[in-house]
Amino acid sequence: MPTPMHGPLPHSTRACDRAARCPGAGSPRLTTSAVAVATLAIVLAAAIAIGRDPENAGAVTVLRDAARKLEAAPATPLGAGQYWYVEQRGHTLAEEREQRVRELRRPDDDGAQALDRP
Amino acid sequence: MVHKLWIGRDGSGRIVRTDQDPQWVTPADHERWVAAGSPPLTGGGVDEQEAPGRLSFAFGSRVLKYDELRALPTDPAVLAPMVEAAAIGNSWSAAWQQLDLIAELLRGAPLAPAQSAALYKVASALPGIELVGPTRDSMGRPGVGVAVTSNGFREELVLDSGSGQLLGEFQTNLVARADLPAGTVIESVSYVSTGVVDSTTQQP
Repeated sequence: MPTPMHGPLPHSTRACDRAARCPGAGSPRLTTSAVAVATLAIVLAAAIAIGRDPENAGAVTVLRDAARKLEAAPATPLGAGQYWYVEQRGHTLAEEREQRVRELRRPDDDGAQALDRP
Repeated sequence: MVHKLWIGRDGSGRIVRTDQDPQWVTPADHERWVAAGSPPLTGGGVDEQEAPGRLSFAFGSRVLKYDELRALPTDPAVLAPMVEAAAIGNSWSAAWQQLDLIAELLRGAPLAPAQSAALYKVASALPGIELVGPTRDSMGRPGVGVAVTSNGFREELVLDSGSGQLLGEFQTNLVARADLPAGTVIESVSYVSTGVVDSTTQQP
C-alpha cells in the first residue's frame, strides 16, 4: 500500500534554500519534478507489488493475512479408510425462482448467451 | 438446508441433505404459493451411501480425485492459471467464477495448508476483488468479507479474522429488479464443521 508523504522531503526546496547546500539536488523546478516522478514511481511500485489497484488493497491485505494463518494450520492428510467430513448450512433459491434469477443474470444485449455453456 | 458430506480417498462416501422450512424472497412469492394451493415445498432430504469412484472434488468445470487434489501446486503463480482455465465460462465475470471455484475448494476439500494459502493468494489477485469489511456469516459468526461483483450480484466470502478459515458465503442481488429487490440474498452458506473421520457415521 502506498504510504502518504507528509512534511518536507529530504530534497525539497523548503529543506534546501540553496541548491549548493544540497548535493545532488538541482534547481527548485527540477527538484519538484523529480519528487513528483519519485512519488509516482512509489505509488506504481506499490500497486504492482500488491498486484492490484490501491483501492482493493484492503481485500488483498485480508486475503494475504488469512493465507499466512492457514499456512500455519495443521495438515489434515486423509488416510486409507478415512473420510473428509464437511457440514454446511444455508439456503438457496427454489428451482423455479433460481431459473428466474438466472434469466436476470443474462446480459441485456445478448439474451442468447448461454449462462452455463461448457 | 443442512448438507453433510463424507468423502474418502477412493471416492466413496455418504451424502446427507436435510431440507428445512423455506423462506420467501418476497411477499409476492408467498402469495403465489398460496394461490397455487400451498403445495409441499421440501422433499425431506436425502441420505445416500456412495460407492468408490462416485464422489470427487469440484474444481470449476473439472472434478478432481483425491490424489489430483493433493497434487495442486502451492505456488500461486502456478496455481492461478490452473484456476483460470478450470473456472466455468459463462455470463458471470471470470473473477466471479474463479472466486466461486476457490471457495468451493476451500470449504469442501482436504487441502494441505500451503494449498489453501495459495488459493487465498490467487483470490487476492483477482480483478475487482474488494473489501466488504467486518460482517457476519449466516450463522451470526463474526468475520471479514471480501467480494467480487458481476451482473449486479455480489459473491462474498466471509473469513474468520482469527484463523483465516472460510466461514461462509453470500450471493446478493445489488440492484432493484422487477421481481427481485436490491439487497436480496439469493444464496447463503455457512461452513459448520470439517475434519477427518474414520467412518461415514462419525463427525469431528
